[in-house]
Amino acid sequence: MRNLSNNIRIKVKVLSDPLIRIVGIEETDIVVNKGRFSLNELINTLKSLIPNLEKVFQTRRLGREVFIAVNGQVIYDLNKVVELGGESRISIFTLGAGG
Amino acid sequence: MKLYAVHGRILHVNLSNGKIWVEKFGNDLLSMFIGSRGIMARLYWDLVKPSTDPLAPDNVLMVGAGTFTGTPMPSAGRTIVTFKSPATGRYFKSSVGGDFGLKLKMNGYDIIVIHGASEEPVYIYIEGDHVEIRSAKHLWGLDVRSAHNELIRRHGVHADTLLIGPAGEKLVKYASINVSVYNVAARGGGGAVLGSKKLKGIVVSKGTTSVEVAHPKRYYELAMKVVRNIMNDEALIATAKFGTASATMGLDSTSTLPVYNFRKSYWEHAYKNSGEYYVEAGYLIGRVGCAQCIVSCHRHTKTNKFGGVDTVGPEYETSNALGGNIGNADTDALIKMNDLANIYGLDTISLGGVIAWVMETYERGYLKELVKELGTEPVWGNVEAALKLIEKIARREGIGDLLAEGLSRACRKVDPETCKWAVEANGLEHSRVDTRVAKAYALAFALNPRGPDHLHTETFAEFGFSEGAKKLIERITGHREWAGVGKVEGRPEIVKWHEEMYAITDSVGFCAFITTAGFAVDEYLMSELFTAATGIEKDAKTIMTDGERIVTLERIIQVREGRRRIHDTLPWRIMNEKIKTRDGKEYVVSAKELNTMLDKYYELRKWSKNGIPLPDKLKELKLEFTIPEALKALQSG
Repeated sequence: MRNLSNNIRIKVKVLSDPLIRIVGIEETDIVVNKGRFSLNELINTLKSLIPNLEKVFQTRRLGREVFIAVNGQVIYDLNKVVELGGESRISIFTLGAGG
Repeated sequence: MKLYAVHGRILHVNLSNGKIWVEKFGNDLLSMFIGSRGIMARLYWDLVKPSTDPLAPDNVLMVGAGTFTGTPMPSAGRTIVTFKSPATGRYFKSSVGGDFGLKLKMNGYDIIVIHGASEEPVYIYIEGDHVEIRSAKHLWGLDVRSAHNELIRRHGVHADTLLIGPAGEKLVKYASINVSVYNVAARGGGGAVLGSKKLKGIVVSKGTTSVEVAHPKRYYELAMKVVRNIMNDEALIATAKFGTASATMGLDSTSTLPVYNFRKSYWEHAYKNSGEYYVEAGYLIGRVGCAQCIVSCHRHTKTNKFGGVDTVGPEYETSNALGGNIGNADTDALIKMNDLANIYGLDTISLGGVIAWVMETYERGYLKELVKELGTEPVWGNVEAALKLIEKIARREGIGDLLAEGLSRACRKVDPETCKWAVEANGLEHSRVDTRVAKAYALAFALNPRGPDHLHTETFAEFGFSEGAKKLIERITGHREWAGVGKVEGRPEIVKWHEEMYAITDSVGFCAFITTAGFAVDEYLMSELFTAATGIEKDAKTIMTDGERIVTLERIIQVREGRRRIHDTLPWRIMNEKIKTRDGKEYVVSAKELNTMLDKYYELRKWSKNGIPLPDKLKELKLEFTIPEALKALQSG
């Protein structure tokens, strides 16, 4: 069990309009334990705290159709461990066109 | 027959003798060549000799507004610039956004042709029928932003400018032409052509002349359909929100993102070069749109670092060329570099290619004296070194004089061995997609009259990122599953369709994002739009034939300038060094693979094995005037 005194508040942004329509929010703060998480653990935590986020991952493939950036870096590998601290930021988005 | 949508007026300005005149054209030319790009290719055939030196007075530079520009049509404000390129030595067309084309038409002209060269710095001022060549002595040496501000102070806020910066004045081979400072006809060194003519730029007044369309009610209905299609296109919505740099993560995820001078195809810091990050991290302070555009993909960005920068951009290509390509994950520095390139008038793709080559060359033991000149080592990710190189190139100072010549010349001078990692072909630095993995891009880049570049035949649908992309690939090839990177099937057909669609897109003034990156307008809708605008009957088949005519004319122009199959190629690194993707697969474009695609493509186009359009095809496309040159080329091989 994680120590509650280690709780931190971090910002989660849903950047892309199609995801905003599904999740219903553009930005929220969540409270999690400070420390190290695998991406898989982090996604499960996010799903439990943000209503409707599960739907995004049910319909879109991670790393192809939906992306998660933690502290300014996009993570593709579910086993990759990330460190969450007081300044951490999480962004979720889909692909765009460009050129 | 009355002309609709265009004025049918070409403004000629000869800087050598000061002569100014107007040439008229009619529906016959418009119907054959559709608009700016196509008509200017036709003019180029008559005006520019194969032997013309790109920086000599007998080169011409043309600026043309699209057929739909100035009409109530969304995303149709693009302007085309055509010239013989000092980088490639051949015919070149470049495209730019902003308001210049719209204001050119509002002044009563479709195209400007600049001939000759002035002895002293000048600019051209256009206010309807009043056209004047004015002294630009006070502007020469100024950066683009300062010159623009000076001209706007003089001519009013509703005027617009097309300008070169110090790089154009110094004849840097990849100097750009900038519209309203931040919209850039970047590639091919058009800025150096203007510099060689001592022409700082052109100012158009706000203008008061409008154009009529042939069938206003129908045109309006179709325009509303285009608006709806844009607003329903998921990719275009993302481009509106995150700019062109929203492409970064898509390319990273498919291992087509070139980093460290094409030695890697994905990057752990890619997000720092992405449009999403510019929004998330607070760099974005607004969106900027070109004339008539409802997407507004340009970015107004700001950073307090580097003395404070308030600018427009960076676009995707810049974000990668001056980002991951040189190992730069410092977004503040990227914004600063982008701003410097804008105000000095430099093409960021070529600039990034040159700086990456310097860094790799230094790493491999060459150019060691650069540490003294730069005061720092030109190593990957050293933004201080990159910023100093930009300053030196723009002014041709020290090493900058050599680097201003572009990769193809610089690498040969340093050591021909270094040309192996000079990622260029035909004199142009490679755009920012790894063509070893994206095979339609590979074929398109090899064939491109500009060189290995994306803004002539962007085959974005190949990635299959969206439903629209998958549907398009299925429509062209009959196989939905052929969308996706690493695949070779159907690539000649995909490239042919995109070349033709792009030629039409450019000629009517549409932004390519709505036809070949997003998919709001297809050839069916395009032909209806053209008919409603001009009154000239077209259907999907005939308008694609018009696209084919433009593509073929551009090819035969280049054949006359010496182009053959041997020039339909890619950089050495792309064809000889394998790239590993995120999932461990390895890709290269082998000579055999490229030749197989070229054979099929030439067959589709009815070109010879050596890439020369055959007389029967030229006749079919009503390009009979080019047949003698084709026969000459076929005889000489």
